Amino acid sequence: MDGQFLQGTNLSRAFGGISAVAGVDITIARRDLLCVIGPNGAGKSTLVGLLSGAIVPGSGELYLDGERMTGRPMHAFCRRGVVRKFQGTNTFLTMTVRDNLMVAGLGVAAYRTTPMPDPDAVLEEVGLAGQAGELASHLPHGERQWLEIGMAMMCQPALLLLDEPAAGLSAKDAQRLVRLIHRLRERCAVLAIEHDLGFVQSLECETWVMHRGEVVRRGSYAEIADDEEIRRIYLGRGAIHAAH
Amino acid sequence: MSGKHAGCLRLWFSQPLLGPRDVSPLLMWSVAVAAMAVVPFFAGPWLLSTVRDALVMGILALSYDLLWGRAGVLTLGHTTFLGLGAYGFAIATVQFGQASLTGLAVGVLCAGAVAAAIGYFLLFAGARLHFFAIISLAVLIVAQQLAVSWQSITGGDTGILGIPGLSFGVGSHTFDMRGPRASWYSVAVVLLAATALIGLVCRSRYGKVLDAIATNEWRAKACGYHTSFHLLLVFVASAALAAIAGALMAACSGVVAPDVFSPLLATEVILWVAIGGRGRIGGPVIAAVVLTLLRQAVSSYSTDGWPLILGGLFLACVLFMPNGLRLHDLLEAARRAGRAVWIRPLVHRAGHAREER
Repeated sequence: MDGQFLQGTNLSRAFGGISAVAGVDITIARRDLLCVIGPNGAGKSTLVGLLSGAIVPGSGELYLDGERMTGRPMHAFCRRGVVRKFQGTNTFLTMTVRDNLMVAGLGVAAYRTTPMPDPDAVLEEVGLAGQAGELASHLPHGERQWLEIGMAMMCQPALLLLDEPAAGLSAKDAQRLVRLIHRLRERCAVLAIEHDLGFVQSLECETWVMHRGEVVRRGSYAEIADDEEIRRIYLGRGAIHAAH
Repeated sequence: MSGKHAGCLRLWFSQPLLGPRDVSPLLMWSVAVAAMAVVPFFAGPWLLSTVRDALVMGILALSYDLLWGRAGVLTLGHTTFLGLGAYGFAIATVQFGQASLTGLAVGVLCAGAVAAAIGYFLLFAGARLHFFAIISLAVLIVAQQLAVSWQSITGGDTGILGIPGLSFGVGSHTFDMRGPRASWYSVAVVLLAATALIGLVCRSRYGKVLDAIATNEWRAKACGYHTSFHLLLVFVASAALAAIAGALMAACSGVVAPDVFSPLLATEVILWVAIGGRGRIGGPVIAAVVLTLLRQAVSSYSTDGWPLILGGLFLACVLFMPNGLRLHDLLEAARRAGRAVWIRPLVHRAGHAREER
């Protein structure tokens, strides 16, 4: 199992009788890039919650670097390198953009061998250098996405979990994000959840499809896109009938 | 590992370079130092002791500003720790005949230990906001009951009388802090030192971390912060400072009675910080001093008037000044009002309109 960073077996979580994630096995290696797609309510965000420690699994086991992490708190996951960008955006709204990055980097600084990244360099990388002194609450949604990606980069991730990173981005910005993700991949593993299939396509990576809490397909985007069953899941039975 | 932690502490508490934003706090602090040094030469003993007691309340406000203003932990029972400090000091010095510094340490340790115990069980279990506030109120009432009913130690309803003032020896010399001037200076030094210390902590990166936890605790957790631990740390520090205020209060007035554990005073503390501006350090202290002096002035006319005024102030504060009273805003409002009075608005506007065309 050399090179495996994260290992989850039979991860499950139910909310009030509804299985959000039902028996997912997942292994992520140090430089993997993985995209998870699926219709609303498929359990994608719950999966990210489980992997980041925000949600305690109902059953199943989770290991990071061989260390058992099942049931550990979220900050312990972050200290070991599992860093997450939330769905929608989640930043420190009352603080400036630069302070957001600084605080994000400071929390794990003691647990990393490398020094904390320079906030200004990260701001440059995500394209917010001009807004360093603005309050996060004054940023439009798209720029808050970039801010949160920057905050995640400040945490020096080993595994970056991106929950809908392209939501609210223009097509041009989405392509910029694709390039950034490919650059980040040289440093860490990335797992992205996305609805925007064009974005997933341009990531050119392994793609998983989730449906009703289970991973129903694993393969390249091209294989997934050609799959009749996947089309049915995404478009509903009626669309298939119409096509026949 | 310890070297690494030292590096981490340096990273967290290192002070940024002096900038234009530091000018006004520094100026205010210097003015406060000068004022505190000079006042005893002009004020009579009665005025001096009245203002000194108000300054002690300023220390209490400062401790609550750290807790609620910075870390966002609302409690309704902050006077628990004021009372524990006062009773700890009184019991150690009067009942057990210890020196006053030991009494101070006993008070602070008591309050710190109680805060650590309550804080550990509540904060680590995830109790926040109103849940935490209600339980803190319950703790206050328990403490009050304890002070009333544990007569052999606390003196019951009468409390403890004849508490000695502060005095301590350094080498062969004994510093006696009992006179009006000496006690003024001891209170002033504690207040100024605490203000400076808290100001420096808040100015460092750690202040930003506390801000972040107060604004969005969930996000801070996702950045790797053990937020419950940081909140506990602030809670204990705040309790210790409140206990210092309590011990000073007991030492200055010479008596302590169960009414230090008063829910009314606990509400006043919240009001001081709300009016002075949450997390603004100087504002809450000034608000505490001014409102305490005001309370004394009002209660010399009527004893029932104060809670009424307090309630009105609280309402006004919530409705009209959710961010507290700011000097800047006041000046702005005054300038606007001044302009409206001095310049005939209609004529002036007409003139402008013509120019624009």
